[in-house]
Amino acid sequence: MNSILHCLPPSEFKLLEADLNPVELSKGEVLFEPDRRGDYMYFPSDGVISFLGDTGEGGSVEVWSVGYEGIAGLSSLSGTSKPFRGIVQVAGTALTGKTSSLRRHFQKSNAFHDAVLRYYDYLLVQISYVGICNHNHSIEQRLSRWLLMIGDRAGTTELKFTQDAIAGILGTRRATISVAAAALQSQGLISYSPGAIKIETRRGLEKASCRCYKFINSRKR
Amino acid sequence: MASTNSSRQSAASSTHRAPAGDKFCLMLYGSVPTACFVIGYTAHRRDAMENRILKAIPSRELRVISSQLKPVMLAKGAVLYEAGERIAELYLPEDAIVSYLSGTVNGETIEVGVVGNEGIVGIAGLLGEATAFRAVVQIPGHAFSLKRDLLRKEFRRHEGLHRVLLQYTNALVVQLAQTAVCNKFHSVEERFCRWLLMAHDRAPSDILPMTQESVARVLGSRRASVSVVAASFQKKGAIRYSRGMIRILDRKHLEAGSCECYEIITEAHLKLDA
Repeated sequence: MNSILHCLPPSEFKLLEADLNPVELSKGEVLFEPDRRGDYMYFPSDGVISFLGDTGEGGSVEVWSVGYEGIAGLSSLSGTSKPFRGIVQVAGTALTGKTSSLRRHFQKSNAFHDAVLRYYDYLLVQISYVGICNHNHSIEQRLSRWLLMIGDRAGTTELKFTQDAIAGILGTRRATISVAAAALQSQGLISYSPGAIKIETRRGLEKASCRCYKFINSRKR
Repeated sequence: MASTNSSRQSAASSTHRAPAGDKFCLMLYGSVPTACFVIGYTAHRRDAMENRILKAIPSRELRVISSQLKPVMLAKGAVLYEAGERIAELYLPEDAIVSYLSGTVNGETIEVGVVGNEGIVGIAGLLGEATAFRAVVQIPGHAFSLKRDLLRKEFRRHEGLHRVLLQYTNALVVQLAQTAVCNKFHSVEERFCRWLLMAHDRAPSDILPMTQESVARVLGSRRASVSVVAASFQKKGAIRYSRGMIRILDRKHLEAGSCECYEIITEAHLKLDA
């Protein structure tokens, strides 16, 4: 269940639910095109949606991601778009609704309104910290941080990602990911096979990660 | 109070590159880095305001908060909030520029976002309670301060104010994300140009009271690298720097040297007026 919806008083959730429909998110699906205003908002339950920025020369980097703790497509609420592509990173389910009807709930329901504001606060921190992390920390720390974040949201320790895909999320080359993954595997923190990574010990991975993971999590409310 | 007000008028009414603004900056440069000081209460006329959030609020709604807007002077280097601090007041810059800074591993700092006349400093106080970042005045100047509790209350009641602040929050999402990409992937040269263009857009004059040291702290790079870049742009005639100031001479060179991040961020903030 999506945390934002879960935290609403039952009466307000009922009103909102009438305008929401369950949807399957399939891996790789593009939900938001850059600079195009979305007509729908998504409340993931166990899928993960990732927003990717362009690093130039065909590369990309994840600027933020949305799982059960959040909402994807918020900018449409105030009629704006964003220059990032939103794609499904981990397949799963979500509830989705038309922005036009959700905007009415946002204006009327105090609980939903305040939950959206709190999420915006968390989102601004997540974006900045992911940016600082990418700038400051080693690729092993960043890979650990990202595996923990995505594992939390996907609710599993077995993640289906190729090293190529991870390179496009952390904004680096496949070879760099390969070296970092080998280092984490040799410490027994993860194990990987083509197209999949398994988190062997969360606590070990937390130690290998920078403080960014804990800090970003601490802002969730 | 009268003299401060008249200097504000001259800075506000002068265009971007007018010499009156230069004088204004010189006057402020070197002021004491205390947080800020109140320069008196006045009746605020929208046409005299430079802050685009205030300009975008419908006049009926502006009247509600206008008596609570306190004109303040933000001194260079002043720390408006420390990271983790609960926000009591937000600031709407007129011609001041404020950076959100984060520390790096080497004890250096890097800017995660910037706020000038397009925005409001301390939006985290409206969305939640505390800020995650230290907010430091980079370019001194005027702003209006507003109590967080008051804004939080009025914001929910007034549709126009609500819409404008939410649009600004969305623009800030884009700015922070694009700045993160820029800090990581673009050269010191590109980032130097982006920062100067963004500061120039928000400053009252062509003179930015910034040392190469303070530019390095914003860009999260070493002073020596900034020095090399600054020298090359001075040689091209794009800027001239002296005694802790950078004068913008020719934006074209900076625009050519900047990455596309400048345009992406500027465009995101322009949507506020649309």
